[in-house]
Amino acid sequence: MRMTGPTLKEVLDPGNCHCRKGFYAPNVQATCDKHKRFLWAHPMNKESTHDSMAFARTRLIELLKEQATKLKEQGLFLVGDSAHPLCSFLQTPHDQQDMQDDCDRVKDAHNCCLSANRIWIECSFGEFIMRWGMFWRTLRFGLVKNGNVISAAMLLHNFIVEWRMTDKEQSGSEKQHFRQFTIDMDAPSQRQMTDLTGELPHALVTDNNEPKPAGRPSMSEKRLMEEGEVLRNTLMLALAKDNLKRPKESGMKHNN
Amino acid sequence: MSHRQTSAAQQHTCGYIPGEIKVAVAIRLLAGGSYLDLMPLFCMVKSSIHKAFDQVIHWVLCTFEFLLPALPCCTNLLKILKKRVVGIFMGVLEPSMGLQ
Repeated sequence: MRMTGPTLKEVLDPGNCHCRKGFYAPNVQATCDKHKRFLWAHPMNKESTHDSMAFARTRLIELLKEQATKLKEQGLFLVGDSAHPLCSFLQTPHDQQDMQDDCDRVKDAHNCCLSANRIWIECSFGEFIMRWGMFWRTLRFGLVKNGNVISAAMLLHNFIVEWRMTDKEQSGSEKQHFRQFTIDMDAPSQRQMTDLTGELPHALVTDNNEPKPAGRPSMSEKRLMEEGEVLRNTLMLALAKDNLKRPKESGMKHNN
Repeated sequence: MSHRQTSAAQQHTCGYIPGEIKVAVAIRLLAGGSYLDLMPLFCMVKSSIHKAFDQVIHWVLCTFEFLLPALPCCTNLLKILKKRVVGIFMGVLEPSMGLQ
């Protein structure tokens, strides 16, 4: 999601809103469910904020930390990518370094299963961007309004998904639309917008999968991390017990 | 949207533009429409279109909310999250990710 550079009135350090891909963008943290509804989102982070830091500053992590014991008892946890910290309520994949001593490929199986679960958030963001053409071009509002517009669009996306769930016919047509998604550059409205903004539409979704930067964790974070590792090992053992492995390429089905 | 309401919006209304028209304008803008297309369609000036968009965004944010931060207590948290279990692992709730 691209946006215009914020002014000095909005932020003291506009340069921090510039991403390594060469444009200004907000860092949006979000959580979704299997129906691709956004259950939580925080779109107001500066681009240069690391995912783990952006997530650590939210109300959600406070809530999860408060309820960590009860979530652990119930065996409930979130799945995040390698940029997020490992906790008892947030499972992340094994690092490449850990994978070197993975003779039985149990860690690989664990990573594969986590990756299969993380696909929902990728699809949610994909659908979200494809649905709202406003995000195909640079957002030209202020920083705060950008956040509000993204939040509102996510809430409307949830509303549409909930409505889609009750209407099978609509669900089918939406699926078809997203599968065959293309931007009609020659449509009059698109041509007009291109003339106005001087920018071609581009449904851009990029994620940030850099590993979490090293830092000294607090005692409580250390405990949550240890609990997270215990949970990770339990999951790995469960996968090994059921002999679940990453499917080989020969057994994969490819989309045409 | 009824014809009467559309007609109402197509006249000079001294700011009294029906909510349905404002929502229609905002949805079109979110979907990637140009305000230049919407001006003749709804007979609204540029400033009214921008004002209507801001107003609808505010309405949406006031009306709907994300589920997780709104949870008041643990019982509800567990109850709601349990319904959203997904994937191979029995306990997995939902994936979480950052997007640029």
